[in-house]
Amino acid sequence: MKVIAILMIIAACSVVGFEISNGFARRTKNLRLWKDALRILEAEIVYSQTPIIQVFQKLSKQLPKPMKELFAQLAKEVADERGDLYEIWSEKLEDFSKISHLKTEDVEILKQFGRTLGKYDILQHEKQIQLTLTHLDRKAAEANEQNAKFGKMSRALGVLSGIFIALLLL
Amino acid sequence: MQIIYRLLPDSIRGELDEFFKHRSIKPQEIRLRVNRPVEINDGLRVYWLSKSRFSQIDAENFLSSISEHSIYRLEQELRQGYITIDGGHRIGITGRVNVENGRVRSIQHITSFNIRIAREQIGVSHSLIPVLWDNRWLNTLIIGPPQSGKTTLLRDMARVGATGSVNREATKVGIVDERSEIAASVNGIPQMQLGYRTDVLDRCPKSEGMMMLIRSMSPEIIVVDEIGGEKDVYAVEEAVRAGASLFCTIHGEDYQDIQTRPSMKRLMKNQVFDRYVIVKHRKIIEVLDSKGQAIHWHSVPSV
Repeated sequence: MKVIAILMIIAACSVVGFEISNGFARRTKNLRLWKDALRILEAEIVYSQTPIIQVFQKLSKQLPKPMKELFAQLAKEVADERGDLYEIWSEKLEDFSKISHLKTEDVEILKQFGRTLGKYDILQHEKQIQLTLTHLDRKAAEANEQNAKFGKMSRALGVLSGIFIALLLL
Repeated sequence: MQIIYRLLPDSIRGELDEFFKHRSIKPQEIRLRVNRPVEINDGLRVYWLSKSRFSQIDAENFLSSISEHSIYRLEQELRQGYITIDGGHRIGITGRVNVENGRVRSIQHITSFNIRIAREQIGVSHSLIPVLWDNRWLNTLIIGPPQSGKTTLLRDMARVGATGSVNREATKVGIVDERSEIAASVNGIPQMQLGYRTDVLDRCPKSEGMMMLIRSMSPEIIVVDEIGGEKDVYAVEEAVRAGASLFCTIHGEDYQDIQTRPSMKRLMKNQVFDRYVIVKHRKIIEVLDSKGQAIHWHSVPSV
């Protein structure tokens, strides 16, 4: 009985540790995906001049989860609603931030980008996309660093703290 | 109309709905101007929506809606000053103009929209067929002031030409649609019924487009709207030499009015056009032959 309890404590703490480490990894991955998304956006807007709804549809086809769902929803809502594109964009981003492990500052960059989306001419869009990409690059570097630094550590800490608590209880 | 309704701000849509419930007019234009009441006119009278005002934000949202939230796609349109939307409606715009190297680059801060409601009137040219067809389609020039129904008539003539009937085979029709008014193309696809044998060069300069059509599409009828420039006249002569029939329109009051224009003088002297159709207030007033003599012609349908 005691052994089972100890194992459970260790397992639970390890899971917490792995979850935290996972968060770092996912932020890195999602930032990378957003950079891909912006490059596709750039190609579609600057070179093909595709309407924004179709751009969203394309993005939802080309990108993996969870970006897939995000852009599919954006395409649908923009097509249905007559409201402002920015409102839909920021609302969907809020939802997205809950599952994507992106930090508030990352989401803020993307929201700012959404403010300009579809509102200016091609030249302006090119500039905005480049600007956003630069911001995201910086954030991605930071996320990478944190992932390398804290990723492994939080996993190890999880397991170790589990063992520590178990030892205390013995 | 549904397409236009969808684009309008809620308050204006509501009032417009109310307006049309009580009146049975066929609107030609709906004009939106920032901070001013909405104007509706049917080419004869002006009506106003008294309650709602069109705000600056409404203007921004309206532009965003007509571009499907993708203003970057409208660069050329914003330079030319109008946008064609689904259903063939044309929205003219004015605002602050950005100039680059002495040429208009774009229009910013758009303050006025003129929604010209496309009205396809299938069959308006039917009564004209007997005078325009004589074993071949005769070169025809439609003369009329703005908003008189020239383009509506021209469009139907193109359709009739490309459709054919029991004793008349469908002919190949080439349309040079410089201002997207005839075919009202969206992404190059005509929104109007133009018959099966019609090819459209959308947004193409008239004179160049006519030559392109002759070279590439072997049209039997060439359709162009609003000729008048020196280059147009040259292209018209070239098209006639190539054996194509011509359906054209020109801004003007009547035959005498057109005759005074230097560029048209030569065409009229050489009797390039076999028929002149005069339209006014959406009615066909008279049909003249190549010498300007009235042709007996009955029935006066509205255009």
